[in-house]
Amino acid sequence: MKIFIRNIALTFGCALLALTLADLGYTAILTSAAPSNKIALLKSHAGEEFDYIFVGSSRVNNDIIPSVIKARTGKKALNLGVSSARPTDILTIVKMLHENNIQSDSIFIQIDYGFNYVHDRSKLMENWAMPFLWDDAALRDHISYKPNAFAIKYVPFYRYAAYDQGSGLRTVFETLREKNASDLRKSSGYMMRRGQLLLKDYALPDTIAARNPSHEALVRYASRNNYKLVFFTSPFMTRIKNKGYMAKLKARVPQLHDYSQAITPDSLFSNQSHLNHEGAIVFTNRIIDDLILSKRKP
Amino acid sequence: MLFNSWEFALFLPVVFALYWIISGKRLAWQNMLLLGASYFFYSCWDWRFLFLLVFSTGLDYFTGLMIHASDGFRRKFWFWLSIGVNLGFLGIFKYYNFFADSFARLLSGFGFQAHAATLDIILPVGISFYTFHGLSYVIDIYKNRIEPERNFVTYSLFVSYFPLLVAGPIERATHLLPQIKRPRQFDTAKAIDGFHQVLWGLFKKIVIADSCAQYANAVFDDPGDKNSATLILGAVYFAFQIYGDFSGYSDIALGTSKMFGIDLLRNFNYPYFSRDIAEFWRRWHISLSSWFRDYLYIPLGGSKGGMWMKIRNTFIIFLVSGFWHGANWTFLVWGGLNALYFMPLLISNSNRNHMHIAAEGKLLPSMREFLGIAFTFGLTVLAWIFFRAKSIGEALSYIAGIFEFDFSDLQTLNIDRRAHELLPLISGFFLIEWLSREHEHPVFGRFKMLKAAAIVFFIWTLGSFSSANEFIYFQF
Repeated sequence: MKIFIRNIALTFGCALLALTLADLGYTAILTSAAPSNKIALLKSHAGEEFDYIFVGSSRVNNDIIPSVIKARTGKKALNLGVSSARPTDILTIVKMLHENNIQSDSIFIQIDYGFNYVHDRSKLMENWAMPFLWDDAALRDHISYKPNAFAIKYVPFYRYAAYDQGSGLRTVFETLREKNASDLRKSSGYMMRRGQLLLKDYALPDTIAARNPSHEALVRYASRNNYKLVFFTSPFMTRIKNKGYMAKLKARVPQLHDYSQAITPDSLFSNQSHLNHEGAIVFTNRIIDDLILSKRKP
Repeated sequence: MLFNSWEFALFLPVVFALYWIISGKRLAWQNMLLLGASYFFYSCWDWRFLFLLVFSTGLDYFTGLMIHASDGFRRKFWFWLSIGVNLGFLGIFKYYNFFADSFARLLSGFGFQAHAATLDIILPVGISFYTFHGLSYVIDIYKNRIEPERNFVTYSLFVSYFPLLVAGPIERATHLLPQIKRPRQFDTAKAIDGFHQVLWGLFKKIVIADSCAQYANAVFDDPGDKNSATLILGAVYFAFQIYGDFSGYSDIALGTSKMFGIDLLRNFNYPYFSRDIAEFWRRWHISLSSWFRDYLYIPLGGSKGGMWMKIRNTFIIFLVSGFWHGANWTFLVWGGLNALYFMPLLISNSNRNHMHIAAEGKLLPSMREFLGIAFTFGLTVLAWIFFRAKSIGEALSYIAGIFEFDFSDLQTLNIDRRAHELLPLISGFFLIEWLSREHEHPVFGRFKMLKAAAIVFFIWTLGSFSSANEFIYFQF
């Protein structure tokens, strides 16, 4: 029996050693590569100063063009929109800005029906967070809700195994081949959508959540750290249903700048809730006019 | 509780420690402990079906004793009572909805208005397997091949032993019962070998089957816009999915059992290296194939009685085997197709040409062997399309898509993966299997511990953890 137990212990010991080395290798490759996602992009700008940083979902990712801001105002902007980001994800990104000493005059927060998501998080962002887990307390807090959070944090390589679809071997190979090399830094985070897909009927929610604790925590965090937050809503196409939701959202977030119906015609949209590149140029100019250059400048 | 779950990773060491350390190596305690653990294991799925399992066990135990003690009409009565109740349970839980639905469709075909009175019946996990355990036991007693087991705990453990309870291998009383009745001493070499086999089974399941499942599902769930190359890859991925899934399960079952000092029947023996379809069926799900051979084919007359009798009996066992897998016409077609594949070998009396593994004692196969393996694999993959498809029409349209011979580009699947991306993994697995084909699993020879550590490493690094699936054969 002793031999059996020793054999098992040695087998797992050797495997654990190899997994620790693999974890270190994966982490080194994924953290040192040119940023191909928004967490890596944020980390790559640690210690830098920006005039404006935009945080939110894909409706920031695809709708705000930092190069247009730079061209018209000479100001430096960064797009940190993450697909399916919810208020909890936005709070984590703002915390990461603080932890990575990234300064900004104003942080623009895109907010919409995501206000209704009290517990949801972006799966994509969790994937991207894995290589940087030990760099940022905000990221460790972000995944602490998961039942396997302990294993993700402390078992070698488990974080990459658990998120194999987003940060597994395939991602490492692609990173080594530099398939996505530095695209995001070149565009300061903006990811364009081309053309116009078939627009379908789309409805905002009928009701709004009474409160969103992550949003409230964000406001408190910003106040504590002297961040100037500017809340805005990106455009939806004109034939969206339940437009009354925006009035309800405005009641919850009085400082909100509502652009939900600011962009026409619908040909500027890639789909119901995302602008195409031409639409993004129009919308970014509108933001520049209204919130950066005008008297409503924050 | 799945073999590839954290619950099982906790359950197994606890039962192992209790079994070898606390039970004091006394047989009665060991068997009681294994039986208790098996019932706990089963009740983790649905404790209500534990009553069905215990009832089925009690019925076969009691009828076995009565058959042995009776003769004439009474003997037949007890025998047929057991057979009827066992098959009755199987019929109700597994096939009722299928027959009701098919009957209603048949009547509708003749112009009668008929609505299938289907019930929302849940299939108790493992019912096909433990029912066959009981059937073989009762038939063996009736045929005077074995004596009935008088110790209820021993018999219950034979039926409910947790490594084989939910997906086999389908054991025989002549093989398993003597081992359960014999005092078992800890055998270090056997336990280590079992541990290695468990690891290899986990590799097959978590790395091969679950990875292939993502790709195969993406192709089979939406085959309409796929070209021939992608459809072929989808079918090949499913072939590896089902092999990795089921043979992986069997390896875990066999390995786990070895750690408790009990050998189970080998269920897979490198079937994809078969040179003809007869060899394939001697290497795929061996315990079921041999069960049908012994309890259906031979009682039907087997190969005695001329060519037509052989053909009829072969079709019967393949169709029944297909139907055993599930209540769907696709399984029947799958069985029938395999019977058709078998016919040329049967008629030319060449179905026992390949009794040993391909290229035995050599590194590479001959050209003839290679072509035989490739052809047999192709036939098998074609048949798997019926097994995987939801309907016969879906399978036929899938096959029609393959025969459009559109190999224009390498398509991207809706899981954001290119269809061919899994080929290096499959090729690596195929190579390891080829090099291990004269052994039960790849951990043999020198540096076993390092090989086992490498398997753990690759399970962890290549495994498909974010899309873990149940074992396919649990649904059977």
